Amino acid sequence: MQTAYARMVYERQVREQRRGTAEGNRQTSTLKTILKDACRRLIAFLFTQVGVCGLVVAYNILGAFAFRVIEGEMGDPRPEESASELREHMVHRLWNVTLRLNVLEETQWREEVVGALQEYQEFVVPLVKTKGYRGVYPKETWSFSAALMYSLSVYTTIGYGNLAPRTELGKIATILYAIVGMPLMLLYMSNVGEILANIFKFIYFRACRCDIGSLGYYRTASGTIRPVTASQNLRVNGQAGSSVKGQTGDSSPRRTIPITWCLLVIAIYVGVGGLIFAQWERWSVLDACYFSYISLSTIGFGDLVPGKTVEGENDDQEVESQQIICTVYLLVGSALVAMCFNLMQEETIENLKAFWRNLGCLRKKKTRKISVEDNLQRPSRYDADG
Amino acid sequence: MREEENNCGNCGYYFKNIIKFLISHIGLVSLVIGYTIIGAFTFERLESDHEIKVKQNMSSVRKDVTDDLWGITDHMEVLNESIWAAEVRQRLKDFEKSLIKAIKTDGWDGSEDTTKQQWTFAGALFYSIILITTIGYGHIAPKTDWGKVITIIYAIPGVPLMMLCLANIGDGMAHSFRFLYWKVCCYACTKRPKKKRRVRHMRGSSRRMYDDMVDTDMRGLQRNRPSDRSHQTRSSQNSKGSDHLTPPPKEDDGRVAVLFNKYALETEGLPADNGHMVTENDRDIEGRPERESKRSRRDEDPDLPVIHQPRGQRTISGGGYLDSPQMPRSPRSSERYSRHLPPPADPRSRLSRLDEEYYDDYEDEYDEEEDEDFVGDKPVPIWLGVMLVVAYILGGAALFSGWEGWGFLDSIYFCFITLTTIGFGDFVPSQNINEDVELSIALCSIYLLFGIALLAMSFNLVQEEVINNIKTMARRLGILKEEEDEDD
Repeated sequence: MQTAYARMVYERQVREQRRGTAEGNRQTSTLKTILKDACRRLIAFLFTQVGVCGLVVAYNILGAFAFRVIEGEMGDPRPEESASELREHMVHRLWNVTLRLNVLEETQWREEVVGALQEYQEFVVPLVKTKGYRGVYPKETWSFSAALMYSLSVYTTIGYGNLAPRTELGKIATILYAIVGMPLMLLYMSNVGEILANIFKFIYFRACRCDIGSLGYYRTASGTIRPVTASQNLRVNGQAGSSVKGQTGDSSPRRTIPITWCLLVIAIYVGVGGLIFAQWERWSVLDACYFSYISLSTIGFGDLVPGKTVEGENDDQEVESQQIICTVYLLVGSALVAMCFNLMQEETIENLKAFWRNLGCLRKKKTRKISVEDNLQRPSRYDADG
Repeated sequence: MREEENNCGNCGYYFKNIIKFLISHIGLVSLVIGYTIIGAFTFERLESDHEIKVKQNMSSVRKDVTDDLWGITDHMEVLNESIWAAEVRQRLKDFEKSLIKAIKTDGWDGSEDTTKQQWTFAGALFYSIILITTIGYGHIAPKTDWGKVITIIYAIPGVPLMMLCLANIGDGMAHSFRFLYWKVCCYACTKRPKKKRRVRHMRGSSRRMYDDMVDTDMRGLQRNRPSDRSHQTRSSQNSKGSDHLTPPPKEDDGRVAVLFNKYALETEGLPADNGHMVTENDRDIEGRPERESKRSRRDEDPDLPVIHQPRGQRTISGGGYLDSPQMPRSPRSSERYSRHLPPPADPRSRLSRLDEEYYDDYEDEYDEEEDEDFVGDKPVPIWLGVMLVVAYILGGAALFSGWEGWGFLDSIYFCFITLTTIGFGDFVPSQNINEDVELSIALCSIYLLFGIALLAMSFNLVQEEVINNIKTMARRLGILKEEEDEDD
């Protein structure tokens, strides 16, 4: 999925480039067209950006309800029943051992008990590993918030596995849910990621006072307002608003956010999540940060998951609210990751282009004048040589 | 100074070539393989000892339980069965919980045999692969602090690297698949041997074709056949909405003329009427196929013109394409046509059936020369892409259900969950079978790596059509403006 997402982001950026070149070709519009334009933009915006967020949340909730019924109430309690039977059997057996050894010879009693326990273990372990036995009946395990987290883990492809479908219906439902949910998630990530990227760029450029116009936007010849992307930098310089002064001669204004900043944002988010979860789940800070990172990167081992799905020590209400907050955290985090992906890709492409240009120009250095280097966007690594 | 420059220039040149190679298929794949092997070594070193400790710990867990049970028994002066049983039951439940915790959280594999470990080299290699493909089963996961830290550090460059590699392979496969597909398809399509009819056909339909397909742009080009370039630039500005085409490079002057000459040769009485332009969009993914198409253009028949068609405006062309519901026409031929001529300005033009046939036949003549060059943008039908993936999943399911002894539905479920990189971990190969663990792991790894590349390939193949379908729908619903590309 990330591959697909990366590809989409790349296309979008190239499309933005192309659109930028085409701006000059648009005709001027009348007032009516402007209004219509605005209306349509509004609807499209609602549908594509805000709407998608709502759609994802609704889909998640729908999944939670569905899986709660399928796996919780209509769930398969056979492993738990098996374990229960085994336990009874074991109790009975131990009682017989205790009765038999009337004199209660400790060593022999212990020996037999240990043997019995070993057998018991050998029955329970396959139950846990292959049948998904967790010690809790499905009805209690599949609470609403647990099902919410499960649905999230399906369509974000995190896939924890601490909760997994046992029934056939559940497995089929999971497959279908994933087939619909993953493109939706892709859409969400791409849209919200782009918005966040623009916001971030706006803040960043304002903060570093780069001359990109007083806003991170510029007005094109036809009057539409467009956000500035990395590739439009040099073109923009000539057309930007009145606050641009004497930029035409400037050869290398920074238009992409450096990768370190993007990584920093993700690191901060992971850290904050880590602190929160460490507090709630009583994990170590390292464990909690590890959990955040593994979840946000959609790896999702499932060895550490918020909420007591193994056994409830905490108050149920508390656990539920923690899980819901974790779900929200992961959704927002996915958008942030998408944003950083977006920004880093831009930056990497710019870097690669410059790097390539450097190498390319070097080869032609024999035949061309040295002045070629002055036009390069970034300083050449061979600057020192001439 | 000059010599220095020469040397540095050469360095740069070779460096550039080296990088090109690195980014090429083989280089990337070896890089990934190397990376996973390094990961395997590292993780095995870090985690193997801890696993042995956990295993050894289980017997002491049992001992604790025994102690507690003895304590229960000992403290009761009168052995009352029900009370005793209740307490023992509770203690057994706690024992179960500690077993579950050991398996789920401490990474115990369930057996106390310290010779059979999960964190062998093969296991660690499997772990690395599962990690950087972001599947993340979780049946084997780092438990030491260092293991976790190294996992995070390892994954940060590893995940993009693996994605890049698989996407690369997927793209290569998509290219070959497209090529094969149209070879086969067009072989089947053009098998009809009617050569004579073809000429007549062409003449008959050519007029119709040009009725349908010529618009001002073409007219401009045709009129300017002798020499004038200005119309071509004008035509680019006439295209609504966006830069449909950049002016063809200067050296194609003669080539443009020749194309129309060619058409003229095939079809006498070439009308230059008004009408709608045929539509065939450049439906493909931007970055890579651009490379391909450029390359192919250079290679192709010099008689045919090389007009650069930027692939930026899929929307309009795409809309037009989908407005004509006679799928599947032979996109290859019509696509080739559009390759030579500027894309249409009017997105709603339609292509009649006879024109399709015209294209089929026309294209047949030039089959031999231009085959490979027109592979780049061919749309493969969606059902084919979907079928590929489904077939792969079913095949894998059959394989795993036989190998691992799972049910068929379970195997399908496993394959799906693995290939989409969800990776719950409730079903993992090599957990049940005691012998041939390594073979199992190898099989699974190959299956999933190839499967993800296959997914990338299918996505590549059908993405354009899917997006265009969605866009058409959205446009019909009035959500998208015609010229505007609000969303993907």
